[in-house]
Order: sequence, then structure tokens, then C-alpha cells
Amino acid sequence: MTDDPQDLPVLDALGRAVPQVAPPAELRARVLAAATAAAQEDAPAVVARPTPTPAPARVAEPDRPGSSSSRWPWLLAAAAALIAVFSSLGWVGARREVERLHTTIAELRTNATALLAVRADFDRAQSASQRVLAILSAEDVHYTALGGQPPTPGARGRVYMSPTRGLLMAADALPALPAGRTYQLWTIVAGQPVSHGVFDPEANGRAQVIADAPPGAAQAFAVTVEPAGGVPAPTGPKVLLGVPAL
Amino acid sequence: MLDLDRQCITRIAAGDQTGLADLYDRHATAVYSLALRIVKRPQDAEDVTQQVFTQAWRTAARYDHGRGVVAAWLLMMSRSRALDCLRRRTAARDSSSDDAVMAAIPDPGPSVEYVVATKQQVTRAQTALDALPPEQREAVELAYYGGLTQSEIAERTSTPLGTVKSRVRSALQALRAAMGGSGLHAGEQS
Repeated sequence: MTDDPQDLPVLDALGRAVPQVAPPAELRARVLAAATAAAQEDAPAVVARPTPTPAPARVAEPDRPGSSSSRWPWLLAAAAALIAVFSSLGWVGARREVERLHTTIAELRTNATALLAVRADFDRAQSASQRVLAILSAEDVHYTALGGQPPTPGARGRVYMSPTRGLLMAADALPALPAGRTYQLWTIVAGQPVSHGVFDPEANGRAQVIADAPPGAAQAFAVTVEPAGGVPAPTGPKVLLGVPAL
Repeated sequence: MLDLDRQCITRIAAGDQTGLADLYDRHATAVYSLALRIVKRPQDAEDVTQQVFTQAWRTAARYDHGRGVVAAWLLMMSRSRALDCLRRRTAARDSSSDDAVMAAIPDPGPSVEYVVATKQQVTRAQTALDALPPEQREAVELAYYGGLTQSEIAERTSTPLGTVKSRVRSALQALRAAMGGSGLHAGEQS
């Protein structure tokens, strides 16, 4: 089209002169996971560290599916061997073939990392389900209903607490919070609040928190609205409150 | 703006994942939009976007800051990956792949002083693109968004090659004029 350096701004502008469409929201997580996973495989210079987030207690930490990545290297090695064969034969067009194989390798990597991300999601969901089942089926599980408080009278919640297996809180009709605010779940033990972490409800107002049982007998369960990231002791308005039966 | 991009690249090169997240937040829409314009299918555009940011993450450590504007680098990768994707899709019927299609528009080398187009300039380019006679506009769009060589455009549009060449030339002249010509290279942003 043009190889005049003067036209580079024109080419750049053509790149932007298209209808601007925001990519789907979930693509962000996929891209970040895929990019860093790909780099961890083959770039010794770059060490990716996921940044620590303020520990939401919503789901149990998944087992890292590190073993599954071992299924891919042989595919990559096979593709690399093919590249070596093509290069040494020096065929006309072999270079083009090499480029194609490079693309294939890149695609395999992309697919592999996408699969790993799916697998990680699956493991996370499965681990959470198992934990829920363990809590609900525990011999020592107790049920406490949580009622909506004045700011959110329509909200409801349930806490299933097993001192040995952990705690499950499920809530409905929680309103979405403004930016910079989050919900935080508490148990009151011996008059002191124990945090079970922060959480945000789904768009339909539902939320689930799975957490370790508090250290001691629960006197009450509460959900408060706090600054993003959570706080060591409750400061904001209570939206759900429940007292276990003795 | 540009400094923020460079900071992102520096952070990515140091292995900081939040650098990539910031770079994504700043440019994902532009990268995705260009890919979508070329490949048409959202699924493919998502794959291209993923490839672009994966490549950015992997090559940030070797990124030459003298080579130009980060956004332009990302858009170039987006276009190039999107055209790859397009070519793979049509590979079955494509027997003329020996043509160096990509030679139609070369990537700027490290020595080229690349100047980013401002939003205003983009609007101007968009307006100028809209103002082109339909046959010139078609030629430019097939070359840039379709990755076709001028011979392929001639074949596709059943037009003599010489006519295609003059259409592209005229279109580029009009676009260059609309962009303010060489005045762009004053480099007020670089």
C-alpha cells in the first residue's frame, strides 16, 4: 500500500479509524491469565507474580493444575522438530511453512493456557462445592437466619456453621454497592468481631461466602458495608444480622 | 499519556502483572476494535486481542522505546495478527500465498520516528476516508483492513492494476493532506 515513512501516521490513523467496540468484560481475565501463563512457560527473564488481593473468603483456594501443563510440551517439541526438518531440507517455501508452524505453536500455547484457565475455574468451583457439601452434611452444623436491617430491609441471609468444617453464608436481595464499598461478613465471638472477609453480590443480589469457622462460640453473625478491601473491625452500617439459637 | 504507556512496558518487563492489566485497560478497546474490523467475528477478534497482549507481555523486555509509540505498536500487532487469522481462514482457497502480502504495508523499523495520531487526527482521517470517492476508499480498505496486495485488489475488483495503483496513490495523498501532511512529524507528542 505504501512504504513511505511519511504515511505511517496515516496507517496508524487507519488503525484507529474503525468503530470503537469494547471487548467483552470477561476477555480481560482470560488475556491476563493467558499472557502470564505463556510467559511462565518459556521466558526465563520474566517472572510473573499475581498481585495479592485483599483476601475475599468467598471461595476456597483452588489446587493449581500445574500437572496438566505437562501434557503440552511434547506437542510443542514435536512442532519444533518439524520446524527443524523443514529448515534443514531447504525447500522452496519451507520458510513459509516454518512461519505457519510458528503460528501453530502460538495457537497451541494460546489454547493450552485457555484450557488451563477453564480447568482452574472448574477446580475452583468443584473445591467450593465440596466444601459446601462438607459443611452442610457435618454432624455439628447449625443454622442461623439473617434478617435485613433498616438500610436494606428486603435482604435475607442464612448461615450454616460447623465448628469443625467451616461456615457457609448465603444471602439474597443485597443491593449493588457504589464504587469503593464492599460487603464484609463478621462473627461476634466473646464480644469481639471476627472477619470472614469481603464479598460482592452477583448482579441478581445473591452472594455466598465460604470461610473457616470462627475461633469460639458464635454470638451473632453480621454483614456490614465497608470501604473496599475491608476493615479490621466493623465501621459501616449493618445490612444483615442473625443470632444463633442457644 | 505516552509516559504512562512506557511505564506499563517497563513494569511488564520487570514481571509486574499489573503493568499488563493497566496496558490492557488503556488499549484493549482499540486493539479489539481494529481486530474486529478485520476479522469480523467477535470470537476471532478476542483471540487476536489475547495474542497481542500475550506478545506484549512476552516481548516487553526487548521493547525498544526509541521505536515509537506503544499504542501504535499494539495496533500494528493487532492488524498483523488479525490478517494472519484472516489468511488462515481463507488458506484453503488461497493459492497465491507466495505473494508477500505483508510487504504491502511494512512495519516501521526501529529507526523510524513514529508519531502517534491524536484523536483529532483520527477524526480527520475518518472524515477524509469517508470523503474519498467510493472506488478509492474501497482500494484503501481492501489494502489496510483486508491485507490485500494491489494485484489482489485488481483481481478482486476486476480493475486494471494500473487503475488500482493510481486509486491507492490518490487516496493516500488525500489522507496525508487531511492529516496535515508533513506537519505531523513535528513530533509534538513524541
